[in-house]
Amino acid sequence: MSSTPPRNNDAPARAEGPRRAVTPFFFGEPGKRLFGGYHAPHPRLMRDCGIVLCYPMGQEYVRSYRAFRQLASLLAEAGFHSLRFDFLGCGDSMGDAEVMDLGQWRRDIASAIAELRSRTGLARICLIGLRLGGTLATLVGADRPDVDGLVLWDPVIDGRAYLGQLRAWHRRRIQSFPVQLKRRPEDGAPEEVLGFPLTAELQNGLAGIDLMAIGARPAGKALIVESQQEAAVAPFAAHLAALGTQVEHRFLPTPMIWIEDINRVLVPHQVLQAVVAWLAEVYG
Amino acid sequence: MNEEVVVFGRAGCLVGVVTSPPDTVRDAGRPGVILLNAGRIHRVGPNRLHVKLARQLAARGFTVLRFDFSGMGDSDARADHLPIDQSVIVETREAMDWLGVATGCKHFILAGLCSGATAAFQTALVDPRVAGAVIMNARGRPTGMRESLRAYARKFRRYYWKVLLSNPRSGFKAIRRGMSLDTLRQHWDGWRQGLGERGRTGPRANPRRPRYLPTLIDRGVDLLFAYSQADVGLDYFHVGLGDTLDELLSTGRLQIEVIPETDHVFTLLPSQEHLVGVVGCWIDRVGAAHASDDVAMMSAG
Repeated sequence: MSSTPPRNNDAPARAEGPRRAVTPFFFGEPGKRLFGGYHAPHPRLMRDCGIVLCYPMGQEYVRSYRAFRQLASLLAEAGFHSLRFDFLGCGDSMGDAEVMDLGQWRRDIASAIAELRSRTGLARICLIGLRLGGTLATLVGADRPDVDGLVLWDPVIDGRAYLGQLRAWHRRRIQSFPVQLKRRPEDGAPEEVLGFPLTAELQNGLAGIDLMAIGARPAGKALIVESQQEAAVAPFAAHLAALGTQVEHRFLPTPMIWIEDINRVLVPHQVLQAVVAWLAEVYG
Repeated sequence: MNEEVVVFGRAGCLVGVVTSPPDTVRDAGRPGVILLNAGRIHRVGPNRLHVKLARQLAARGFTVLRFDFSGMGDSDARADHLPIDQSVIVETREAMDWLGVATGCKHFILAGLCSGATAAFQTALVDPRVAGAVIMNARGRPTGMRESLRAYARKFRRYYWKVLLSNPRSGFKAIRRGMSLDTLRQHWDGWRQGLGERGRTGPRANPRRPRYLPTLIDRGVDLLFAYSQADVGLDYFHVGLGDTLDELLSTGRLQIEVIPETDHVFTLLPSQEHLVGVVGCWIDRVGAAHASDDVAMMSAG
């Protein structure tokens, strides 16, 4: 049985069948439509906080997609409305390199918050972010008073260090390519990190990231999860606490899924379960 | 250009995005294009390749559907016990069903990389609506040690020795990778399973077994095989088809394209651009030919 095509992006055509785990749709302003996946909680168990999940970027995004989908499903089972979305220029969202900009991505989070509130009527929102997604979530929280909670999974704290990591990953990967590349970045080709463009605007934006410099409390409560202990995280946790955030900082030694072999598509259940448990306790 | 999310399939579990061309270039007679998952990567494709390809093809007048097989990306898992090598064919056909109703197109071009390429090929064999297929870095399981040795010998003759001459260190690294424990283990598994596939048709059809390509070409299906320069799949392809290959190339329905300086998933931006350009031009040409065929048939009818 096939279904007719939709007339608008908010109501995807669907065949008859059991309740779906994910409702996929486009949202946001015309010309800057974002792809979203909404996970509704079971009707018998609904909590009064919505969750917006913020992906990392580039190759890290591709490797994290499955884990984020499973996290959103676990959140739905635990009673949370949740929305995953692709940033502009990423995933299935509109645009390409020309729109990749940290300021736009912060506005995308704001759009996702508005969309989730519109769908659910919920006022309380918690943001979950992995890597740069966590960084952007923190910056958004610091800019507005209504982000109730944050879950920061291996957040990028120092943008220059992050750029260095990306470039080092790119170089290592190129060296393992089965061909000897005749072309090098200095030959005039635009810079990229393993197939994803690194425009000058994006580089400048990333280089300017310093979460230790935020001066406003980004949320009332935060869970910081580290997969691999990084020296910068503990001072950052202390900084958030000094700003007035109730911080729980956990080290859960698990693979860095965002750089693992693409074929492994790992899902670190230990991290997912810790995140869901923390949210269930905080928003019980 | 417009993009819409769609949910389709008999079980209502398949999620995709349809990219439709602007009205100024829309051609209702053209085949629909369907992009299939590469490995375990969701419908955006490796390095967002499927998104770029879909939007470029839409700019050329094609309607393109990229979707997730069941249990991948945003598609739900199936509720039955159909094995994946059969479900990918069933679901690709459901994608054609949906796109056919949505756009009225009667023919389709399937495109896939690696496991997606295999799914495209296997679906083409069993569904007459497939007018063309883009097979990117398809390998199929090696059928025996002899075939593997011949393929690697061919690769040495065409590729390894050049790398060794220009950069011995790089060359030895490349050869070592080809003989790594992981690669050898994959080959061993492939040999064991390949022995069981001899004589098998249908879901396990291997693109380089000589009997399958003529079946498709005789039916009028156009095929583009695109390989990364260093992908041993290219050598398996030549070795598997042997003398049949020249004959198939002479029909004009089979094209082989080798993309230089790239890896299995065409990672770097210049190679993505090259691949999208090659595939776009090929689909344009094949799409126009099949649209003309349909018009001719309708006029004659």
